[in-house]
Amino acid sequence: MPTRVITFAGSTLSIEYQGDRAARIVNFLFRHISTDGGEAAQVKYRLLSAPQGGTDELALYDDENLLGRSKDEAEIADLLLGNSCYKLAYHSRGGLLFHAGGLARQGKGLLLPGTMGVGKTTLTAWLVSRGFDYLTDEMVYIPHQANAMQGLTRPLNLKHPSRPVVQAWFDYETQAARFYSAAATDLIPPALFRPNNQLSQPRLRLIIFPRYQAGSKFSLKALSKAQAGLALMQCLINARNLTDHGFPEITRLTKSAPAYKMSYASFEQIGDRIETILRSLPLTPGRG
Amino acid sequence: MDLTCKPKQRPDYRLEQLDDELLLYHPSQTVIMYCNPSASLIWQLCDGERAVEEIITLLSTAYEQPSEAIAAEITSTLAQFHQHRAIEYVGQEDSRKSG
Repeated sequence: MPTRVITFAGSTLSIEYQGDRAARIVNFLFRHISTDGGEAAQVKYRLLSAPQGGTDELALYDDENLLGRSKDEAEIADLLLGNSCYKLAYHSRGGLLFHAGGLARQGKGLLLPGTMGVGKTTLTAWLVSRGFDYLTDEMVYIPHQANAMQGLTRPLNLKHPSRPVVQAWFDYETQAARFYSAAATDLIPPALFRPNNQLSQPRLRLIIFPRYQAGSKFSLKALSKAQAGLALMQCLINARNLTDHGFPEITRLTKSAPAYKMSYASFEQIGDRIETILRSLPLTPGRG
Repeated sequence: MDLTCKPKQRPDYRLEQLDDELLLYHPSQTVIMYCNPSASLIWQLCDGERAVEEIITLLSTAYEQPSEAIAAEITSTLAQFHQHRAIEYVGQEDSRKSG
């Protein structure tokens, strides 16, 4: 049976799959994620097709446990993506893994840390449509003693309530055959927002903690290093696997990139402010 | 608060000075505290030798402010430190009651 091994953030997963539909899901979700599996997989998935009432039903297993079954590819894709992200984070070590969006512009890395519901994915999609290169909408890994941002480059996971906003720059109707729409979310490949998207591991140069708040006034406030450190600790996913819960590494990062807290109610309020800040920063810390 | 008691930093906190602010982190309790410049200064004066009233006098003289205003900020900050078990009071069995 074909197997896809994926590695990210010090974790390794394997997915055995059977049948064309299963292969399509695996390729759709993980095509941009490294397959350099140096270690044995910590988690093994199996994605199997079985004839059921004239249509192949798909069944997803985590080792021997059935996680779910459905005839709907989108539902299984959503289930596999959510579960695999959780497992990658659970086993992650060797660096800081943040719940964050990640983007690059002219070689400079932008980190958008935030807990669930602050609008990271929608903001990430908007920035990609403005010419930023997409790294991830969910998890950014920064190895110990490094500043390179490694994103979990998965399809953007946009919740349905964000559709009225996203449709301003994305045509859901004409692209319908090229993304998965599950019960609560759309899984959209980054190339549909930006066909010439370049994958990279840029140096972290700017940290923005975004918060979408309907009806709020725009606010962009510079954070001190200590304030940024506190906020970053709150977005660190794999603290329990790290020496001193990653505290020394977090404080190191806060010295290498400026941080801001941004509240907004619409993308018009943001305009080109993020690009302007990034342009003012040198490519590497301490130069320019 | 008993102003004659002497606050002392607990040794099990990790300290990171970032410009004029501090992050205090307790590894086993996974507690993290942000200290603005004023709180950082107060933390640094918690040496187990100075009484709270001496810290108030020292800072009200240094900043030329009424000791009442300074005292309120200092006692409030010390209460937070104590609540997070970042300080202890030398010579008192359980001074959390007074925090």
